[in-house]
Amino acid sequence: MLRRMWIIIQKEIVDNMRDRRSVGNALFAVLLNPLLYVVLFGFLNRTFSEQAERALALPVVGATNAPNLIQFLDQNNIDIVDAPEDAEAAVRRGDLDVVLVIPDDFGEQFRDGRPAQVQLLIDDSSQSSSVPSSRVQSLINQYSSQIGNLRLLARGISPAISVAVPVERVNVAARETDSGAGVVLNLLPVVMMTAAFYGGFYLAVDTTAGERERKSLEPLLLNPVPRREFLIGKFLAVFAFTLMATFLATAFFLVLLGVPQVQAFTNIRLSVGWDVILTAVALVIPVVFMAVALHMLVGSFARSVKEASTYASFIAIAGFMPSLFLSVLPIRPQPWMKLIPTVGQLYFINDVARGLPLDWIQVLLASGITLGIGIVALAVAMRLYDQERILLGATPA
Amino acid sequence: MIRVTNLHKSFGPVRAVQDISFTAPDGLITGLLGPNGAGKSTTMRLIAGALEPDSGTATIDGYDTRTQRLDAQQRLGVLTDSHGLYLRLTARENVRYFGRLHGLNGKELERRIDELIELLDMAEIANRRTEGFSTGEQVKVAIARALVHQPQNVMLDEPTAGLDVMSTRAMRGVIRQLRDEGRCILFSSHVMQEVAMLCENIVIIAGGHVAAQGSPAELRQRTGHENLEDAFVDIIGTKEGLI
Repeated sequence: MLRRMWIIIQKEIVDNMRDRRSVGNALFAVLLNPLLYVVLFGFLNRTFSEQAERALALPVVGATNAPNLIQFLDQNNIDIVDAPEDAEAAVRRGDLDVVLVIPDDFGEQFRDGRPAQVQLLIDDSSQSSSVPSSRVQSLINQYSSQIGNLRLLARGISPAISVAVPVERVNVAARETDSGAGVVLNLLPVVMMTAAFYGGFYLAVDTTAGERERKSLEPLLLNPVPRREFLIGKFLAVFAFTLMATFLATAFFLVLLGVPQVQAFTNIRLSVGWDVILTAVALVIPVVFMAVALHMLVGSFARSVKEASTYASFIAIAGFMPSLFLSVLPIRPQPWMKLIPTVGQLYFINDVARGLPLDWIQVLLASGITLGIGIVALAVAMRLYDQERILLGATPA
Repeated sequence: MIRVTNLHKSFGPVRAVQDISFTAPDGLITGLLGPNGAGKSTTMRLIAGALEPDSGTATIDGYDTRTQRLDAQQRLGVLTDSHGLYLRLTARENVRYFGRLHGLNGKELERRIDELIELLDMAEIANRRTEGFSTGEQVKVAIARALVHQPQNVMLDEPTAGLDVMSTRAMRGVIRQLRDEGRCILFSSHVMQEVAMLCENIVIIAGGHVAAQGSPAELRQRTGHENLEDAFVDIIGTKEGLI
């Protein structure tokens, strides 16, 4: 039985590898997807960090009213420029991101020890103004508390008394990562799930519904081999292929992020070892198993390649959607959520990428459930192969 | 030897095969003749074990194709009406795959494939991928695939359909040679002249029933017609569907 299955696996692999479409399809999932994410998020990250480091040109109305404050801003990498006539309209039109307005009575208020208010004109609906406006605001806050402290000291009071509850931010991330790296690590499960659900998509449909549509299934099933062995052989061939695609996608994504030139472009410092890559791939094996089994099931059930592709794409979307959601909306997982196939693996992969320890009991349970669904799907598909329905096309004759 | 006993098969409301019985002995060419849609292909698919009969049995060398399917299939080579080759594999690889599934391997298998390539005169196409093969070339590969395990029983569904004159003649030669080796040959056709020319034993199927069966001489005698063609028409009751 093993020898016969090996014959079937060999044939399917040779046949598939000669199929440019299937190889192209897999390469698409393997190479383009991670590359796209790296370029896209690298670009975003680069834009953000450049904005934060670059000298910011700040138009100011009434700069002469507060020479001290202006000097402080100037020392902190802000270029003070003159504001146009109608500053408010310029911000609303989007010509300017942010404008600082210092009223004429600023000096008077300041001298008298009253809150000397200034105004920041911003457009809340414009994305480009969020980074510069928060930068200016935090500088002014700094200046404000410096002055406040000096005033307290002048009155013989320790400035410490005004800080009732200080907050210290302690970063306990196991791996030293900057925020950009965190975002990119959230994308790792997306890359892996996409590869798991799309890497073998075409092959699974082609070897089942495709073989039937090309009418080579009937001669094949007339060979003295239990029919279910054909299904298992085909499954193993597609499974091996998809696993390889998933591994390549994962490795490519993480290795790419570690390349110095890429890091120089993206501004994301991240290096992940092969132990992480291999552990992540090991964690996703049950998902690959389940995805391929489900694809084989719909491929065996459907009456045409078209029908099979439709079902299979539903499965693929359902399979990788959770990873996409959770990469942008990080939800604290409840323990039971980790038992849901693909969702659990998302969190495990995320933990591994961040260097956190895994709860092995949870991993085993989740893997068992995922594999179980795959085995049930395979068992149903095997039954389909044992029935004559598999050989009855749309028009029996 | 292929023996069919009281075979029934329906697809929903369509009764494709109703109570068909006949025997195809070793060393003879048995022809299944009938108009299109008479139930020839369904009968052959039941014998091959592709479909399961509603009732009745088909046996190959005594093995029931339903309950002892693998034993029966080991002794049977089938040319299906759709040739279903793997287009990305070469002709030789197509034949080799089926040979290996029958348990052959190594030098013995390659020697057998070489014999078939010579028998079917397909040396030129043997190492080409089958994509783009003409119908005649496809049939050759499909026949080689059906014969690679040297089955005692050979079943051919419309083997000459779509072939040109030369290929048809060559095909007849192959069928006669298989008969001379003492094998049981069952082949279906709706071409009367072909059946008349080749077959020692004729089973005429019409409307899912066996309309008549016997040697050409017996059929002529039974209907009182000198001409076999008139005998066929008399048995089937209509000229429709026969060529």
